[in-house]
Amino acid sequence: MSRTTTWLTAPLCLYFVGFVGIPLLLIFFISLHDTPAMTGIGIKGYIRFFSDAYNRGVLLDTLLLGVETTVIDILLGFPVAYLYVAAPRWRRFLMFMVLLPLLTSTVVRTFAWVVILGNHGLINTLLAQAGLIGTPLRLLYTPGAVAVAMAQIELPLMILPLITAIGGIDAHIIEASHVLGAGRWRTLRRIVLPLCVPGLLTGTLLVFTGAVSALVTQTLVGGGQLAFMPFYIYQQAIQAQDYPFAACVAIVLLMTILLIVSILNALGRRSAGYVHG
Amino acid sequence: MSLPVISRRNLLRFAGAATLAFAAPQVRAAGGHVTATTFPGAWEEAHRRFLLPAVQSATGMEVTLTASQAVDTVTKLAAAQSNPPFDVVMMDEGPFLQGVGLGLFRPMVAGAVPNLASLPTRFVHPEGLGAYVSAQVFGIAYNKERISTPPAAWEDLLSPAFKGRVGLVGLDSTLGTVWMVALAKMLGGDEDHMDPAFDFIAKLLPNVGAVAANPGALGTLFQSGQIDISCHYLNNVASLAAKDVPVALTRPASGWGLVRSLMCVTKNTAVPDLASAYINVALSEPVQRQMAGAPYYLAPTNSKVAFGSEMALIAKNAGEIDQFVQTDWMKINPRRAEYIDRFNRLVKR
Repeated sequence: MSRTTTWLTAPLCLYFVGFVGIPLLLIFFISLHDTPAMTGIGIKGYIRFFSDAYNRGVLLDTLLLGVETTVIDILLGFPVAYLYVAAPRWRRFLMFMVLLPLLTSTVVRTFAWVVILGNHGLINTLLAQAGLIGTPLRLLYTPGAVAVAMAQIELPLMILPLITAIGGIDAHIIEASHVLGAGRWRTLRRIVLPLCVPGLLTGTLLVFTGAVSALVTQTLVGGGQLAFMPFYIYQQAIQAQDYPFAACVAIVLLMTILLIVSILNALGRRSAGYVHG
Repeated sequence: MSLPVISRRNLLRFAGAATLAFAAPQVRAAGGHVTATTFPGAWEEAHRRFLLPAVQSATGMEVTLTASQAVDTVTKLAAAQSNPPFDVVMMDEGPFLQGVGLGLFRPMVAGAVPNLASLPTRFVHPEGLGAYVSAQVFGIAYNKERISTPPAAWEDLLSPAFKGRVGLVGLDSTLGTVWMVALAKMLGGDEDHMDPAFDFIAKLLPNVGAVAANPGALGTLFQSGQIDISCHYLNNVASLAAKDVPVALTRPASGWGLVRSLMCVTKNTAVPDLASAYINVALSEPVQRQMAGAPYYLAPTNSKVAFGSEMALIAKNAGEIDQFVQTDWMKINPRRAEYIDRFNRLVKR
């Protein structure tokens, strides 16, 4: 790397140190206090978090939401990305459709889901009119509703890396596979899917981290009876005024995400070897 | 690799424009400038509609109004004590006492708030750290299209007919807390003995259709038909009814509940006199009368303002309102975190 390039990265580095690095260290420091009044140094907050089944439940529910969202997005996103690469004439239209949700604010998209899933929302009204149900189904404020709404909001972040990955596959390899006698499914399974792994991992990373930290959608679609980590942090800090414990919850969430990201990165490195080696 | 070439002239143009945009002096009105907070929803609407024009014509000052829940405001003030982001803040009793404890407020400037004389003495903080600008009344809100017989008491919420139709509001909100205290008092408890209220909620759970994160969200739940009955504020119910949502408010047998809101001048504000003048206008007779009328129904604290229209059904004046079920926030505040936590665990599915 030349000297000029090094210098050019300096503003971003300073920005990260000043506005991400130091605040994170501060949060970690705050989390090491034992009481809301910030007295006593120790790890009581962390012990309190992990010794309580309620807190562990909140963490697990949050991670589960991330996994569900990611799985839905892979299942929905892969065919779209494949179609995008396979049908060049539809590219403009597809790209427009994929990007459209990104042009609306998350709050608006979330409210749309509240309207769709409510007791007198689109789905319940349709089902009632079709005579299939007497009383409205409980759709809103359920974990499933949060995962579905979250998946729709995060979908572009899965499709875009997949398009890059699928688009980067050398067409000759696929032709070679056909020439050597593999059918369409076998080619998809043995050639295309493995070569998509890097894109799949990038998408998974973006969708998972987005889903576990999406305060607005989790709160609006999940309602007050489901608890996820981001709102728990907010509640402990702002409403209960217990900064040390809020900081503990934040650090636990951060560490868990970091752990999952490291695992995914390690898998990514292995798959890169798999692809090129 | 080829990057698009940016000509020096274009770069300079852009840099020049950006510098101008950032360096442009803040336009200040001749009468000065005050930054104030209000509560989101009906409060913000009413303040923009009545208070701001009155402040402008009485003092000539510009007001930047920010909607912020009281607990959030306390956090923001505590984070920047030496250079507070607001000059005047709106507070509920609970967060106000927290703020007093943290030393976030200063006394109003003597002589700048002549309207204090029209307030009952208990509506002004003894050290002048805040003045009560309004009282909000809460009772049983219900959908009058789907519930033909108005409920008469909080116990009616337990009726099997309301399965999946009752709305709750989180204990992290003022409304949630004061309602729980009202329930506890009705069932023989008080601020320090909340078990009866928690037992009541446990029995109510099969009927609960949704738990709103804040009182504003309760309105949305009524509108979308997600819930048909809950505790709520008179002013919010009136504002929903004005939007053709079929909701009404009724008095529970145990009595109306009361929540009071204050305005305070922040410590270290650069403009304590202007901030005090702002509070003076908020306490003035015309503004309080307008705020008390349709569609906001915020109970006035200025004793010169008679209770009209909907308010008259509830009380005759500020003195009578003072008899309603109230909450001792000095007792609640130290145990608030514990109660929030207990409530969360109770309602979690």
